[in-house]
Amino acid sequence: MARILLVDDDKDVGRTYELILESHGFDVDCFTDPAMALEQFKPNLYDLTILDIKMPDPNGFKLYDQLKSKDSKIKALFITALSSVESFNTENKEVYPIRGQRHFIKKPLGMDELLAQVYTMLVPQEEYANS
Amino acid sequence: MNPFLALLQRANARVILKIALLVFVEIGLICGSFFILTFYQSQGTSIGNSINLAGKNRYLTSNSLLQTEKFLDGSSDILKLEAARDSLEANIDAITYGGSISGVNIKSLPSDFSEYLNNVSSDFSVYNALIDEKIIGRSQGTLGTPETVLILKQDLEATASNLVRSSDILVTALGSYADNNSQNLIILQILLAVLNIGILVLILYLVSRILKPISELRQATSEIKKGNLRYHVEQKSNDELGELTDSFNSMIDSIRSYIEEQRRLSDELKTANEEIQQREHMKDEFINIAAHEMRTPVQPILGLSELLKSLRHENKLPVTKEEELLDMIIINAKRLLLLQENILDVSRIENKLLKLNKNQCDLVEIISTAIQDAENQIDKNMVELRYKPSETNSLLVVADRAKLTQVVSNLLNNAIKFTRAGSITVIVVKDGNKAIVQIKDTGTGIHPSVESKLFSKFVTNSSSGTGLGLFISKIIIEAHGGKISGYNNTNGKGATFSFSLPLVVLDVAQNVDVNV
Repeated sequence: MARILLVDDDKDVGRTYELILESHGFDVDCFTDPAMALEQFKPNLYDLTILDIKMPDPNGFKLYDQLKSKDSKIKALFITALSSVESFNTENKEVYPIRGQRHFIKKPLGMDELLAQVYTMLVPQEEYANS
Repeated sequence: MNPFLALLQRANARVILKIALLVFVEIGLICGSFFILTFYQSQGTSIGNSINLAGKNRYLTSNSLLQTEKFLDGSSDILKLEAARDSLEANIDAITYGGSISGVNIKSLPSDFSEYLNNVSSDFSVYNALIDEKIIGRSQGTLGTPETVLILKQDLEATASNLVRSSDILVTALGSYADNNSQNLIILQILLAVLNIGILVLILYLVSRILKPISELRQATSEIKKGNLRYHVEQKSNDELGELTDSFNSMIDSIRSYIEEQRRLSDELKTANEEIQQREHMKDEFINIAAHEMRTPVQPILGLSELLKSLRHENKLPVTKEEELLDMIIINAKRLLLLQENILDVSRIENKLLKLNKNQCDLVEIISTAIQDAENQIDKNMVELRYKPSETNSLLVVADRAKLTQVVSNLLNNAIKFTRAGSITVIVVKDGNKAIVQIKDTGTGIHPSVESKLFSKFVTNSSSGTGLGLFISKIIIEAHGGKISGYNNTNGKGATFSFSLPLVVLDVAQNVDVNV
């Protein structure tokens, strides 16, 4: 089953996603401290990362860049309660859908939506392209 | 009309009137000078003619005497004698014609002149009578003996000599009168010239008195045009122009103070506008932050409720897990409630509508309840929550229970948020007639940038939070007659927040409106 790295500085939000994903058989490593998540990150271990955006340093975007430098194939699902991510997206990256690579969705999201987003992200890119 | 313009016109009118008067005097003076000079000139010419005529007497008298003597000697006829005598008579007539000397009225001359003239006339009369009586009408043979003729000649010479002398006296008197006149004329001319120059200088002075201040005022207006509102025209006189200068200067002062006032108002408006813009910006930012903060606890409530339902359906829910999920849902619902309460309180505070429903309640109990909620929020593996209640079991205060709970929850939530690992210690003690609550953590502490404005609105220490909790807590505590403070621990690890409340016991519960 897929292994997911989950980073959200809000303990309860992280725990919610962790419980939902675990109930559907995913292996989840949950962190509330992004710096610690980066420190303990092992390349080629995770099929997906779920990242909050507004976090104490590094924020979700910066964390993704650093994880990417350790594991070039890493995929990210950004989940944020922010109305606008512009102030965090300093390098003006395209954060909206690039299927299979990274995706941006808003909190709060229901259990089914979370699972649907995760399954979508986990479909291999070529498979997605063929579907 | 503009009073300034009226003053300008009045000032101008007065000075122009003065100048006009002087110009009039000057014209009068010039005309007078002209008449006087003309008079003197004509008098001079007449006197000159008189001198000529009187001078001619000497020659004509000599000629008449010569012709008379020639007649007496028989070397000339009587006609020549008469012609010479007639010429002399005509000349004397010319001098004395009509009681004047060749047009010069004798009355206008000193009285001596009529005497001199009379002398000439009487001397001529004597001479003429001698000729008429002794010679005219007599033939050559009746003239008498040579001795008689000699005596006659001597008489004639004597009377002629008298006539010449009196004529000479007249000539000399006229000459000296003319000299006097010419001297007087020179003095008069000098006086007139001085007077003329004086009046001209006065006119120039008055013109310059108008023109100079006016040119200075023009200079001032051009300075003002350039924006130099500190320019002042020097006041040199106390008359209308001085008054005008004074009025002009005070006009500049008024304009300057008006402009300065306008600038000040404009600056104030600008500052107020900037403040409004800043406030608007802060409000927008607050709305974004508040939305973020409110969505966050909704996530566990929504996600976990759905999970709970789904697990129940599948009968895969152990009791312990169900407990955990329900606790998290309750905690986050309370978190949402606290947040909502904070936001509403800010609105109530801003609109002066915050109402405290004060009742007698136990501070220890309020804190104990808040601690129970806090315990569910902390990661017990990482953070230890220590609670030291007062040895006196209960501390009674008159307070709004809900609001006081809100304060304690805000302070505990902050401590939990900033303490990932370590401890949070809550102490409640009685200190005289006050209760003191202290919440001490070993977290990240207060950032230096927010230390001075810790209890201000929208000030946050981290990437999350609305910046309302401490602001509201301070207002609530102060509305209860207490004090609140926050500081970094002296050991450099974490921060301590404490508040005090008066321990006043009232028998009757009361509602208190608090304006904050």
